[in-house]
Amino acid sequence: MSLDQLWQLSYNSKTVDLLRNSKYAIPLIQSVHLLGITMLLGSLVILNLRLLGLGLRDFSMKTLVNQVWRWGVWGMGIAIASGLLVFLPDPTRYAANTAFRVKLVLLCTAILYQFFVFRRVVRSEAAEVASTGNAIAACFALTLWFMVGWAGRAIGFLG
Amino acid sequence: MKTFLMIACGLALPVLAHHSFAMFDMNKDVTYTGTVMEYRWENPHSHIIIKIDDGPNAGTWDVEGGSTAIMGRQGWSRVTYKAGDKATLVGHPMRDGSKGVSLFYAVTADGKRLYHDIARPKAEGAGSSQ
Amino acid sequence: MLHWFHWLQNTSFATGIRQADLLFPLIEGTHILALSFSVGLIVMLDLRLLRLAFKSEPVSKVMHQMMPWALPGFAVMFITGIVLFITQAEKAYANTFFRYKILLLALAGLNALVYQFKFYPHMKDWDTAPSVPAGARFTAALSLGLWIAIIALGRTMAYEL
Repeated sequence: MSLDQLWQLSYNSKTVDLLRNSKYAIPLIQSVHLLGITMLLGSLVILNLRLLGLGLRDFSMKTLVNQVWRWGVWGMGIAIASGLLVFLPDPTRYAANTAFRVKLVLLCTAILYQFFVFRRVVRSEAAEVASTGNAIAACFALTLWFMVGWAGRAIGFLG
Repeated sequence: MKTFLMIACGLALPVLAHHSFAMFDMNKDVTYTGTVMEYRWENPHSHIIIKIDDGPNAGTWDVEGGSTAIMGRQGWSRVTYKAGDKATLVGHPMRDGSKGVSLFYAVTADGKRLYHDIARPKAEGAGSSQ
Repeated sequence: MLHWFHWLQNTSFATGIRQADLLFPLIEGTHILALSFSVGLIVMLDLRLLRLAFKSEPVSKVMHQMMPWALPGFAVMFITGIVLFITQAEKAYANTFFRYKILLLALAGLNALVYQFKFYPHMKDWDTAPSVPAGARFTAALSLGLWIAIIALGRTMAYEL
């Protein structure tokens, strides 16, 4: 099945039709998307401020990871699930939007980085003390994820 | 967490009952020909307020376009229209019957089409009818 | 009031930003993404008061670690919010969702003041206690609910023509 056929299937499905035609569904889903993003980025700000040695220094990295990592994951899950629900009612329009494509590429990169690199960095003993390596890891994480956020905004403004 | 979400949405719902949403019937293309009352070139959405004197669509309509960047790429500018100009606009009307439209394209005096965004009519193949 | 908003949004400052391809989305994007520095951090304090996170940490520690970064975050929200309002003062003023958003923002501010003057002075009494006073828990729950609603209302503003 081609991508276009997949989008057509989604566009025509009854459940998706319900989403598209409901007055309240799309703004509600987009608000949930924003809440997920706030949860995710908030957790990332906390972990990276500590990793950079710039803030929250009275907490050990271990404590912050234990307390905040799961909120980040939940936020990510909520953002992705709600994002899918924004996308499915109008797949062709989004698929053709350059900013959306850029966002997806950045998002996949960010997720891979998060679970294969960042996760290891923040759980290591070396994370407790500021270092160049930690700073690079932190800047990479913040840049990637905030760029995903900016790309999301660009969908509606820049196309 | 879920309870809070429901409470919060509950707070917003009574408000939704009073005002219509910008929910356009994207499958309907309607042509609006009239006089431009206002041309608002701006973010987040440009607007063309058009007055139609007679016919089934008589009245003043708010035709909503896109951002300046997106419209600009399609050939629009700050001076594409001004108050008093005659205009022919094609768009998707609000589902609830109120006089709001989502712009699909404008037809200029020399017959050219100025689209809102990259979407083109289905017959031409590319993209969905926005 | 309306006359003043009309004048405000027609100043060259407001018009310039409103018609700018990049600057407008930049300001709006900052407003939204700064939520991570403001609401994203303050939520941790609320969660601690509700004993949903940082349970073994003193309330004062969570508060004093989060606030230095949350406050500038709120400042950014406030400044970008004002700029955005100025660019469409009349329209925002007439927008029902915006009005509710401002109302809830005021309530959130009041709620924060209630915590500051009623519970903060006695915080050391229950800083490490196994339970938090009901009133403090209520302000935390209210804070969470209000911010969720405020974010939703902000997003929904766009859907009133």
